[in-house]
Amino acid sequence: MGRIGITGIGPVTPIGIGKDEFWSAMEKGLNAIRKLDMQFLPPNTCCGVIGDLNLDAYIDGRRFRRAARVSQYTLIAAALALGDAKCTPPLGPKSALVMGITHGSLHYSETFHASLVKEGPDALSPIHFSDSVLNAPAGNTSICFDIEGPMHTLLGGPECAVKAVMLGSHLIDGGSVDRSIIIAAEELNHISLYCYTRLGLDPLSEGAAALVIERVDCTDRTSPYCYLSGMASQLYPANPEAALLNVVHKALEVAGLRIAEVDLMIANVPVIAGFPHTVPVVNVAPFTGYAFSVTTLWHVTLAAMVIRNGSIPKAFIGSDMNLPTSIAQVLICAADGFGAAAALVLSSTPGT
Amino acid sequence: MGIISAHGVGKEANWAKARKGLSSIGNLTTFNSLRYRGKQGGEAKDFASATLHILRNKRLDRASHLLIHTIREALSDAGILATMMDVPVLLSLGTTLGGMLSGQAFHREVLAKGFSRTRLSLVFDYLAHSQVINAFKEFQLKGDFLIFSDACASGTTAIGHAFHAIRRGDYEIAVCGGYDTMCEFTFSGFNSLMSVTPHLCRPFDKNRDGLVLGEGAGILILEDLGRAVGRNAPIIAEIVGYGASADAYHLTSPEPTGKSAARAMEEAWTNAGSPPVDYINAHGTGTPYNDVMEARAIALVFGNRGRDIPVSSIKPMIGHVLGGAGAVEAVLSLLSLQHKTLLPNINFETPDPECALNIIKETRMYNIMTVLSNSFGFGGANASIVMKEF
Repeated sequence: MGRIGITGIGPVTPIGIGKDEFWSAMEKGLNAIRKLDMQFLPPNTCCGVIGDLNLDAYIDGRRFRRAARVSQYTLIAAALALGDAKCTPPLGPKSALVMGITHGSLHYSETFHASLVKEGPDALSPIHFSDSVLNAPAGNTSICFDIEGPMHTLLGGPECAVKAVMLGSHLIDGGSVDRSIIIAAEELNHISLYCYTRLGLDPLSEGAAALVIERVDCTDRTSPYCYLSGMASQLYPANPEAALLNVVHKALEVAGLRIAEVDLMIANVPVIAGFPHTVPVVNVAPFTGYAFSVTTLWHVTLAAMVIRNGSIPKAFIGSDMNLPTSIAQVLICAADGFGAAAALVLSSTPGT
Repeated sequence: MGIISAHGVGKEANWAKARKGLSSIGNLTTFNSLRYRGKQGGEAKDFASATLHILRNKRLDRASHLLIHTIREALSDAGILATMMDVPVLLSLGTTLGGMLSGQAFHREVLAKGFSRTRLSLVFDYLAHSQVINAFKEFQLKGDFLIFSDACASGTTAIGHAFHAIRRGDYEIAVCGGYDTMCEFTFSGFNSLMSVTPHLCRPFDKNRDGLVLGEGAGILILEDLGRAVGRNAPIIAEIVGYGASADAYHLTSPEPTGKSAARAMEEAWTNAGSPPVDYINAHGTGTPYNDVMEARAIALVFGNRGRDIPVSSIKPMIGHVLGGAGAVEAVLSLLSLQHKTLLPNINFETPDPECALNIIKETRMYNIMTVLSNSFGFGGANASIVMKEF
């Protein structure tokens, strides 16, 4: 662990597309969460949505214009990350693609179901079916960038983005590939907005994020943002708090760090029992909305930029925050309410 | 190992019908399939629900019931439950649909009653990780999970990554496999793609014209060899190789030359030390494009010897279980290995020169030592595993 670096990032967020817009938005404290005025939604429902997005600005050709939005977000995030890492397609069999996803194409699934129920089998569109399959975003991305190595879609909550990073790094460690493209993507529709708002999980969001991770000795094109130095995941339904604490300790142990050596924590959970209050904790969800595994990968993206830039965006800096003098170790945590948790440590220098 | 398929519940019931080359494909009972091009499928009609000891919710999605029952059979078969309570376990599963039956019910409730009267519990059951969480609770497992949704390659992929996790030393025990249910959403989707046969499913036959869907689950218990030997476990076989690749070609059509599928097979076979392969459990869906691609891939990996290796697809007997296919087929491949018996590719009548393979038409005894099992899916996901007699 520690010889794999992040060499490319590609955030697609409601506050900005691409790393520069994303960082700038966070520096300015841009907030994309808007109130939605829709009849069937509870009053004051808010969310962060991706506005008009021109796929043609990122992806050549017409092939993916009818792809589901979640696929389009995936493609754009991949294009940005690969461009950032200076990787040019075709990527071939030595590149892997690992996605972490929670819902897939909600819109096409709903459209397909509605057509089936209201109009019958003859009215069904094959593209609504094929693009609603959960691995369609990964399939479209492998086609677009000629990624011929292993291609996997992992399902889960916010933690599955870290699992995607773990799987991608295992594939590199195992020698079957030189690099892995890690992506998380989600799209909103009125069903998810309605359900999760009723369940109290709001404001929701949508978008994607992609990372390129590579073995350090394989890349002379670009210097990594940071290095993967520790990671862990666990499912412990009987005790979700313990699950989170366990993965934090395990990830730090793998990284060879003590809690006190962490400079910044980025997490979708507010507080971890026993974690020192001196470590600043940030979360992009108040600015973007919450997008399950995508939020986790936005956090990884943010961590990579914080380590490279050596500073925390101004929007996150509160008067009571203990600012670290340097940022070399960032801990990213993700957990749901069901006992699934994952943690990832990113470091400014590679391990041995 | 544990299995539920259209052939029945449990390995004995499945083996009894599979070795006789029986078809369990029939008219569907869970929805009206008469309005579709293809009307039949392989429902697990003998399975109603799992016995639950911890979970109290009898209204779990059928996917959770399939999964829990099959895991219980596999744990019992491995005689492992008593020795694993304090050991971290990896649950590595493949599914294409998760709790799609609940998703389907939810969508129908929205359309029929409006949002305010829909059951939100259906949304939780819809998500694939809810089945895993249910299994963790029911068996009081400690550890972690991976859920692969790599379309029809999901089950094989889940087994392959469980194998890698044990080889790396991350876990000593993995519960792995896959599951999927029969539901109208998927059935209508495959019909809209014109992939479902209105006739018999006949993989590798010149007159093949489509697949037949099935449902079920297959679970394997993988255990570190030293640990298994140490507790005198009944070792069925070894997993010795796994490979995966992507076509990067088309969302619903396989890469026609077979080169991508061949890379997955080659990696699995090389990973296994390139042993003589005695039997290939083919993906063999019965669609015109898949089968010719798979035949070409076998030829690319094994050259002329590829024409001699016995090959069969069990999908004409039980249907295509999608995310569970690779797992169900791994269980049947292991039973073939145990019983030294080649299972037949039923309905095969007319050889196709484009699929120049040694297709097994009838059950026969054969000294199977090593099996290669293939799974290829939507989006161009390919996975192969190699299993060897212990």
